[in-house]
Amino acid sequence: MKRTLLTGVIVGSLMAMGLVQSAPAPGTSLSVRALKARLMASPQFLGASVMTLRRGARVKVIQSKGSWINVNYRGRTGWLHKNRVTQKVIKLSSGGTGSGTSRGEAELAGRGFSPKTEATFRSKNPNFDYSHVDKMQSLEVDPVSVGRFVQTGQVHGPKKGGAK
Amino acid sequence: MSRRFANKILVFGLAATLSFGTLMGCRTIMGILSGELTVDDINKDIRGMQALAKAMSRANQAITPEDEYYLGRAVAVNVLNQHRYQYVESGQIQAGQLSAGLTSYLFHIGKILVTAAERKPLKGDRMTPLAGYRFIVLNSPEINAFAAPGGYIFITTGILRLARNEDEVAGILAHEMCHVIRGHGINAIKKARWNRVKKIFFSEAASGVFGDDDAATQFLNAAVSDILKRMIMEGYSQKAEFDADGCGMRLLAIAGYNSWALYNVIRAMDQRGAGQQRGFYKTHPTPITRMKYLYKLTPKWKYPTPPPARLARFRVAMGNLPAPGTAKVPRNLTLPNI
Repeated sequence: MKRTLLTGVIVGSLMAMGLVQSAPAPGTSLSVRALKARLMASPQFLGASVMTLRRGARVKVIQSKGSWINVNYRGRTGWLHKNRVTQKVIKLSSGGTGSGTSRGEAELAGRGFSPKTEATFRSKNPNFDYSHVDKMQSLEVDPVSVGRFVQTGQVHGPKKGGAK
Repeated sequence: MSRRFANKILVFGLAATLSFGTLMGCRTIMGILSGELTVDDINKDIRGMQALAKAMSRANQAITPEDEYYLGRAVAVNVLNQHRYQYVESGQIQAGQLSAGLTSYLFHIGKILVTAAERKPLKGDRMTPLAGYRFIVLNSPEINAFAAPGGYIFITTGILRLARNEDEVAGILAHEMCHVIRGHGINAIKKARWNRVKKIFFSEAASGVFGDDDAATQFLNAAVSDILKRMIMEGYSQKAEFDADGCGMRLLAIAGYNSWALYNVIRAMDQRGAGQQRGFYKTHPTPITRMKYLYKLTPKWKYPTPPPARLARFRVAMGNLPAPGTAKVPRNLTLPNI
């Protein structure tokens, strides 16, 4: 029993310190979990991107670097943040969420709420105009533009190189 | 000793150690940031964080980012409906454009802040919403802002007018984004409903339960009502608001904005609305209490004067605000039909 408790404490401590991380092995297949994810040219949030991937797209792991994963998608390579992907295969359902948003983007199949739940909710609340939410959702800024915004505004904190 | 009992001990050991590790992590970060924490402060912080972590683990277990997506859309459409779909640059947005303007300006600042949150996440943070963050300026003179789960951030023209520079705009956005990051909206769903949710989400027959779409819609309706009541009428708990202030200040610091900007905008709120009982003043702790809390946490760094380019683009963006007096006052809150 002591050994079991000790194992729990040690593993828990390591997890709490963030030392146990499951980096996906090279060759593993991952699915894009976010509705849209930019495949970045380098492992950083701002800057040039190779292309935009949609939810459910399957990518193959080349290597990992911290929170970033170098992947291959149909012959094109780039970097995805670990929060944008999952090891699960995402099955897109046949339902949709209505106007404005493309089907592939909005379909979130699995346990829990579904496009069908939203459709029922909308039919019971016909005064709600979802087209505004769909339009809001379709807006996005280019990470290159945000990178320039940081540079021109010198958003770098009190010291050179940013606030640490 | 049975294997089952040994497993229970293992789980307990893990949970206890994780909780302790999480709290120590927060304390250390805040301690580093402020450099002025006393033992009493740390103990108070830990007690507050324990309660919050317990509440947050509930949300993190039951509501996935996929569920949060639908929940957020339903809350967002309610907020927009309540404001009669009156928002700044609505024509441009309805045309699917985000050309240079106020909304685009907020999206740029928001992207810098979410990047900061993802670069240095805290334990217990929810992952970035599946559809990212969205920012809309509601055409209302009331000093107010709302954060729907799923990353839909609404700020009024009234609160935006309090900001004197870009850093203060970032402070307002950071506070709201932190309500999403820390799961405060989701935790506003009444405790009694969680038992039912747990049954549905963890049941082996989950697909069967959710095949009955009425059950899911009923829960969606009820959850939306709970969140709206808290978000708009009653306000989140004081702990949640302080948590959003601390988290917001931290995002500013990591992003490279002036970490005093949130403190400054709350001070402006105090000067502008002393004695008010509407909007932010009704749903948040008093500005003075929030300032005292933030004063203790905010690192005492000296920031250089923002460069002229940052100030100039702030003025250009704010030039897109409608003239004062033309903004609509929102109607009373209407809750969804169940």
